[in-house]
Amino acid sequence: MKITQVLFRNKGARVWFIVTMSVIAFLLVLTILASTVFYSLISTVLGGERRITGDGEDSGIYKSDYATKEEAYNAANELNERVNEEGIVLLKNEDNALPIKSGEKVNVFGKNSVNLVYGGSGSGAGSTEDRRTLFESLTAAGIEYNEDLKNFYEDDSRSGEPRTSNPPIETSGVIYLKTGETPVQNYQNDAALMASCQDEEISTALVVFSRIGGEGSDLPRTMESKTEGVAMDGANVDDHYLQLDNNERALLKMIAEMDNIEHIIVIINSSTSMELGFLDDIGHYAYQDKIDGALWIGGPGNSGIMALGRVLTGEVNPSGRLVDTYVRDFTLDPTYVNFSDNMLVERKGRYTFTGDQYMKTTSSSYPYYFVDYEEGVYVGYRYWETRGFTEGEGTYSDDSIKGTTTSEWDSWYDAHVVYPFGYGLSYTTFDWEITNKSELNGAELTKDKITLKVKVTNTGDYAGKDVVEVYATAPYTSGGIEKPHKVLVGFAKTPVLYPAAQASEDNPDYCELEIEIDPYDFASYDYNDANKNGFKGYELESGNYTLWVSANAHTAEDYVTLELGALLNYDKDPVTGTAVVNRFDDADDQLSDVTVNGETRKGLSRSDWEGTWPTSRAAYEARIVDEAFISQLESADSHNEDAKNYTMPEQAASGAEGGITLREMYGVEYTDEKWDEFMNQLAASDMLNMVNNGNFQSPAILYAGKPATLESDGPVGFVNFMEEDNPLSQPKYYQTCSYASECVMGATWNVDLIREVGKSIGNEGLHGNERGDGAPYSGLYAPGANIHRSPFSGRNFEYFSEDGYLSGMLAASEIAGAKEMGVYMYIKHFAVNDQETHRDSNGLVTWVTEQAMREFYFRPFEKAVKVGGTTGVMSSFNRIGTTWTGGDYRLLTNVLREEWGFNGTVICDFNLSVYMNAEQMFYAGGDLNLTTMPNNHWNADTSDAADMYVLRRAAKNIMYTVANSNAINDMVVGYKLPVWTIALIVIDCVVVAGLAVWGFFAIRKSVRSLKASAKQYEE
Amino acid sequence: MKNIVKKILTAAVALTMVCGAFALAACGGEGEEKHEHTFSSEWTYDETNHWHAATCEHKDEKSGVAAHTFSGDTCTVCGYTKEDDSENQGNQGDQGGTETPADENEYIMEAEDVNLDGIVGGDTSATPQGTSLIVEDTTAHGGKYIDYLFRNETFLEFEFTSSEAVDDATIVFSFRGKYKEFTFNNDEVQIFVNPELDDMYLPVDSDARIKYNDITLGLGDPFKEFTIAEDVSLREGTNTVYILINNTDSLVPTASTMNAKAPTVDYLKITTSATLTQVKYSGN
Repeated sequence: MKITQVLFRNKGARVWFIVTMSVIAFLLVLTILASTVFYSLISTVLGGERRITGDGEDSGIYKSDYATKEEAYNAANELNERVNEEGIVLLKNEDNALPIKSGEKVNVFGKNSVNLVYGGSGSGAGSTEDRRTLFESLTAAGIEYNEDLKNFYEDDSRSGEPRTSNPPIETSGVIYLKTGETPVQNYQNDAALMASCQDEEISTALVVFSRIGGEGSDLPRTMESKTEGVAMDGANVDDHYLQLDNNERALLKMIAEMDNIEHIIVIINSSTSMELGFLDDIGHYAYQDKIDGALWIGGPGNSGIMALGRVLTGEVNPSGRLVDTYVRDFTLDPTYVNFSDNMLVERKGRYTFTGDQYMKTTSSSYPYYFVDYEEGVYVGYRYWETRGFTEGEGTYSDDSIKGTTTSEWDSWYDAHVVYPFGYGLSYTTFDWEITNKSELNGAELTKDKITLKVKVTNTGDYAGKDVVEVYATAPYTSGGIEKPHKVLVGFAKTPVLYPAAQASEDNPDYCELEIEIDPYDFASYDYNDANKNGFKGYELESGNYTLWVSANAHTAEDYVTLELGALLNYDKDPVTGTAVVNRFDDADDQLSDVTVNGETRKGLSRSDWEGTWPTSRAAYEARIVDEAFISQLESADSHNEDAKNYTMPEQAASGAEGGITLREMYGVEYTDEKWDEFMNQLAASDMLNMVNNGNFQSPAILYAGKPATLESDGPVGFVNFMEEDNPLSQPKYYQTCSYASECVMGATWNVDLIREVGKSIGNEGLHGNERGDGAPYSGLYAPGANIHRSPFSGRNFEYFSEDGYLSGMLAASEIAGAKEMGVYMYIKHFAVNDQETHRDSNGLVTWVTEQAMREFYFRPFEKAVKVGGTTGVMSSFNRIGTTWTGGDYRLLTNVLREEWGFNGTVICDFNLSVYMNAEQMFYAGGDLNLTTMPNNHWNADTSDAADMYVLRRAAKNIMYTVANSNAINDMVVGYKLPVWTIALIVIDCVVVAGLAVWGFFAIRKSVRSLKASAKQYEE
Repeated sequence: MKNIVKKILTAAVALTMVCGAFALAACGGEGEEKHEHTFSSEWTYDETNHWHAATCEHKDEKSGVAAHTFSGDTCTVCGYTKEDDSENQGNQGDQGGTETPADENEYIMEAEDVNLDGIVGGDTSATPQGTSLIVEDTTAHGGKYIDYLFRNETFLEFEFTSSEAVDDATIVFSFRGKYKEFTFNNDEVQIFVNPELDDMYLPVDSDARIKYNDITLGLGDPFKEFTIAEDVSLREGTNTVYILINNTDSLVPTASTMNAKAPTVDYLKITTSATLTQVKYSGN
């Protein structure tokens, strides 16, 4: 019988056939589409390929402390709250303003109270998911708040437009910012609102003042708008962004005039310092007697604001300390006139000329910009404490301090400084005793480390932590080496100490801190042989040294004095033994000449503040340069003097499998011969591809067991601002904690806590892209470690402090914590990238003395290498002198590697521009090219010995970094099909099997019935 | 009995084959080896474009597709020579466009040839300026285009001379998107012909701009031509077509070094009966 008869004559068979054909057709189409066109889409939604790891569940080198990414994320947010608990600084607390009793009701004023500044914008901006609010924090702490006032602020039609959040950056680099504070008329016109604020029940008002920060631009030093003579809303033309504007001042006045209000508590939500003279100076334009409390909170990150409520009620005793000097009048800062556009912006036709631009003539310019670090070593407290010392105590008259009518002050220092560096109050009191004072006092100073033992006792009524800060004074000779009066050389934070009444063995009321001081950290770098002893480098001159055990940079509780007979110098690095010599003699070439004791030199001098005061090059004539100078800027010379000795290494012709895998190189010393064996197996083209494609990753070299790595921006957590949620791809970075701004981390002064932050980052990194292919996040562009040279730097929120030692010790701690868990951090930006304006406009030409660089601009990076063991560094956009840092052998090889002993990867900052020459970078000691454009790749000549030597070295550095990270955590032996693909196959087979079985019976029945009818027919 | 066994065996074999086929189809996704196309190093061309043809089995694949860059009648990239001038003039490239009448000429002005001095752009973590705005790309006309215009008040000024005053110019721009699909209108990206500029080098009268229809640029689309205006007047002598970014609707809001949406620009094309010559800035 024919098959058609079998299939179509019998109804059962017919049905089966039709159904089967339809189902098979459908499944075929579905399967084919799913495997091709929609593969990516379905994979990103239902899960993609899964790495197959060789050793099974428990054998990863690094193990997360948490079972899932979500747990790690929640733990990170809790940790962040603790960072904020310890980073919030209590600035003022009088008349029992704080703590607020739980159950009390308060008014929360300030338009920004409903729109806090959580961090900054730019590459470091975190996600806005899971952001907690100030109001949640208050409620959780049991503080009630005036709902009407909150609703008022949330309604822009009543309270006005909010602050500028995404400021339009002008071509000059200037931005125009409004604080967004509500004008008082808006309140006064609203009777019901005023009534609710004046409720007799409410006696405390919190007032939030916020200031933003962001990558790419610095903060305005004038509130003039684009229209000449007209100021931004609520401000005055001569004001700057970091002081209270008219609306804020009027707000304080209005609140103070409310009879029911007894206490005004100001909350400063700004990651850079602000002028806070209104807190202690009756003559200040915004002073109000009722302001008796103030707290600095910085940028809390997504969860951190929850700490504020607890601090306000006293559940947590604040223990933060300022990371900057808070000065009365920012225009008197020695960096003020040599920063950003030098206060000159002029538009002439299509061009915008600024006061930091090199000119060809008075009416035409070159597209090159500069900044003059004329202040030398006198940055931040290094200036204010030194001058405070030289000017001395005693009444000081000065009516030029802006913003106040006060003209008589207790001292020069008092006239200029509101709060010193390292300042912070507590709800309790402490007593200090240097327990080994008699041993140390009068002892001889050597290069050996000194241990200061300080007993700290809680003498008050609240449990809390305290911070002991140690500053060093070195002997100064007028006309000799410039030395700040004090430099920070040690610090420690106590555990929680309890009031005597509550003390027990587990809850002690005292502890003994041991603070280790390294004399190297207070040696001066005599770059120009100012003391004429024939030596240039780190020196400890003979004389008396004082170590101040202090509450802050200004106030010492006690001290010890050490004596040094014969001068000591550090001709070699104390850790590596490499010779330390001047590398950057040209870096101060264009700083002004000043005369000190008849000698010509560069930079501000404490011997003659007025005579050597920084001058500005804003005038056109001062900025005219010739073509010869411009050619220097256009040169791609890396200053690599050793390249002529480079020999051709042996490389494989093409990658061979079966050699040494990267995982086997974990823990192998950088200088071990095994690295040569490993590197020999790599083909040149593969190495070149790897070093050239460093945009948020490093590419794979699979035959050597190196996977592609995921590396992301920070610095306050894994973020990738370039990724977006769109229907066709899920971001690889998700559900990661946005930690507090680095200045809040800095304000904790707690290396152990910051180490925990590093570990938390490491844990988050291990979970990585859990919903995707499980790849860990291996690298982070963090921490930021440049210096708060000026309060107006837009990126201060991403850098710890104005001090290099504090920044360095915290950076080192964070890096060590992350490294322990397998994440490598690229500390950035190396070096002297302390402003945003024109940083990448053909490479900001930065003029600075080697002394300042060696004493504090480099210090955070030095500590990151020597103390933190970092295996990553990111170079910067700017130049030191005329040479781009990312292409400077003296910086990346001589100093970083030879002197300090760094082993690992140097990545450049985003390579987008002509002046960032890839070949120059590699020859200088850069290893990884952060670029998305093939234009900016290095076309190495693989037949050239020097090119190959350099290429191999760069590739080895990357391999070394990755070998000691979570990238090699699991042995990736292959990739499994996604779960959904397997499910689809199973479904296909089950359905087909079902159809086949059904078909078997249907056809059999059909055949039988045909046979039966045929038989019938025959009969 | 034998029959039943035969049938079961047949069913089993069929079932196995079908399962196998499905499994193979499923495995054909990107999980396993990816095929990498290979291409000839020689150029293949037609009247409009040139490209590298595939030498693997995927014969339809092409690499480096780009329009000819003519110097006279010969393409400087692939060597193709136009057979017959009058017929080939007015060919609109592979994106389609209006037919050019025989008495009109087409002028392509590369964006990378404009005066970039003083032009500041914005990208995700930097502020490229001047010639750093030029990016090489084989799919762009002339092999280059202008990127990083993602900043409010950034502009490009195409300068050219015209042999005579005319009223017949058609203005076309070649644009491509970036970062995501987005749409812009004639106020957000303003295009002017011979605008009067103020001291800030911004147009005095923004209403004098061309009111073209909204343009949508998709993610992953190649460069496409968009007709901005027809029957535009040009002066005898110097003219400018000025394109200004006038919005703060950033494509990547968290990147503070950029704050606007903007196209990337390959070229300006003007079709007119006059003779035009672009003022080119060397060193780009």
